[in-house]
Amino acid sequence: MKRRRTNRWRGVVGVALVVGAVGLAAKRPPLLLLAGVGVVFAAYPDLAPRTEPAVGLERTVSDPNPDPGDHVEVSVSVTNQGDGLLADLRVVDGVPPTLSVVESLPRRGTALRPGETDSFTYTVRAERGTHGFEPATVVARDLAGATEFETTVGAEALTELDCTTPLSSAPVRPETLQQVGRIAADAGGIGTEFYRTREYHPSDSIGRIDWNRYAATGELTTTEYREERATSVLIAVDARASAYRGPDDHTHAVVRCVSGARRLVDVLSRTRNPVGVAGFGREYCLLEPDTGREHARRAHRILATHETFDSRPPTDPVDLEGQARQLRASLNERTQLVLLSPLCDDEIVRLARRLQLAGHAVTVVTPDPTDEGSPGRRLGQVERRNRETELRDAGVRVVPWAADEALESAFDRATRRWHR
Amino acid sequence: MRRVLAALGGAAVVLGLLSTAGSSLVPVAAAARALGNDYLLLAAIGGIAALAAIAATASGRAERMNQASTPDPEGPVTVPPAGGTLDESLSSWQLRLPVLGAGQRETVRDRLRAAAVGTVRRSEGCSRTEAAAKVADGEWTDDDHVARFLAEDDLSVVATVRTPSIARRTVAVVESLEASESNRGEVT
Repeated sequence: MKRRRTNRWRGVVGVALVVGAVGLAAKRPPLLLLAGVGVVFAAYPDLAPRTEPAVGLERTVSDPNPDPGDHVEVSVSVTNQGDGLLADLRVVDGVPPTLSVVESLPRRGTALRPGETDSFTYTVRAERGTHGFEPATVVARDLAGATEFETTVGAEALTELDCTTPLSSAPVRPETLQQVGRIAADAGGIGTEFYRTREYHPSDSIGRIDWNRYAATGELTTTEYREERATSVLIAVDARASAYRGPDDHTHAVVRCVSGARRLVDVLSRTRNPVGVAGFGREYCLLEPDTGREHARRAHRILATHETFDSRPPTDPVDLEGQARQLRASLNERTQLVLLSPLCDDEIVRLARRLQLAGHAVTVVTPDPTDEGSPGRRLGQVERRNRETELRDAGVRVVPWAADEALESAFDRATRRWHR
Repeated sequence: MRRVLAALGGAAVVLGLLSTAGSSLVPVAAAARALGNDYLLLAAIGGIAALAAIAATASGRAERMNQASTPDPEGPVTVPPAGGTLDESLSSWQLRLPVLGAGQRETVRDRLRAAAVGTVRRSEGCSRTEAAAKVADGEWTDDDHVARFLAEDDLSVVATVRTPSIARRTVAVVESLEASESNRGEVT
């Protein structure tokens, strides 16, 4: 909590002294009396009690899972949890930076006695993606306005508007069979799902002989099941400054990448495959692949709150090469990489190609940040499609994701193309 | 410091009260006699107050106000559009200048050249080297101005001055090439 003197009454001291001096020089007692009033004003802030505010904030949204374009009402309640009067309290709610307030204001000025609560509501327009509210800013001034406290509240309560649709599958590589429960390798062995039958070999287990076929044909054959291998998947988000691009009136690419990553975490964590999260941006961020609900919650928390995934663009350039080295160190030969990037520069394309050539199965999910209109914007579209082609030529699978499209539908379209 | 000032102020008030009560602790009469008359004593005190007023007024100016500025979360964060830097370059007056705009002009040409190579590669299904050679030889388009704009090392003065318009034309040519490629359908 920051505490500062506002210096609001500093001028009054000067005025009081000038008036006093004139009163003395001109022998005018009323002016001296007036100077005395000024002195009272100047002294009051130091004499008035200074209560450090203890403010509680509760935020509710009318619909946590709206459709794109829906208006969502946000209600905020502010409570004075301290013992002193909060004579001048200003609260500005932490509206998700990517959303617009369309009705009322997300701010309130009020005075609260101890235990008292005040509420306000405002309306935001939902956009595609997952949008987390930020802590609200609270400024409390004393009665004289000479001292103020500034703090944020509500950081512990993670309020979100999730304007996405759940995924039924993830675009992980099918050396593999897409199925909830596992990623199965395309190799016969011991498992539960039928893969093929082959000629019997004396070293085969008797339990794997296809007795039905033996009864019908008299031939001994061995049944093979699809071998299940746990394949770890690392979901990486490109959150460098160059990725913060977006068409007018649409959510920008990094927000879409982060919300896409969260949906992928959801769907992949329902399998037994370890899932991890990485991010390139302000700083390299990594959550090593692992399994379990607690791990999935941690992945969500990181994607929602880590500064690398902030919805405001960073200002400093990023050493992608250095961050890529850290990423490579955390990959093993069985790790698949799902990279979410709008492909706004060649650097990220080179990285994806290098990883693919190094033997990691790379899939790039790429939200479209381009727009029609000016020559620059049109060139941006061409460049992006060129980069997609370069990736495909290197064997990287690409999932183009249009601005007004649900991720599930982008996956469906890409999967159909892959299986053509 | 503030406590010292408060103590001094308190002491001054006490002295003032004592002097009005006629106490001998405060040698008001002696001070007045030393200065010549009581008005000069008042003027001296007033002078001290005026000096203090100058310091207090200077430190209390409006720009010394130190209040929190609250955020403005009503509007969404804005990001530039993809490809927006080309538009900025094309609207820059420096781009047309023969010497001063050389660096900026080369950046624009490099970017357009890379886009042309990538699109030729896609549309003709050739290698990157072949596509780069076609662009370098100016064989990738029938538009002479555009072909020379990307092929020549040194632009003519006319082409230099017309850089923004030729660059816009280049984007259109690259787009038309891409349209012919998309008619062939996606490969992967």
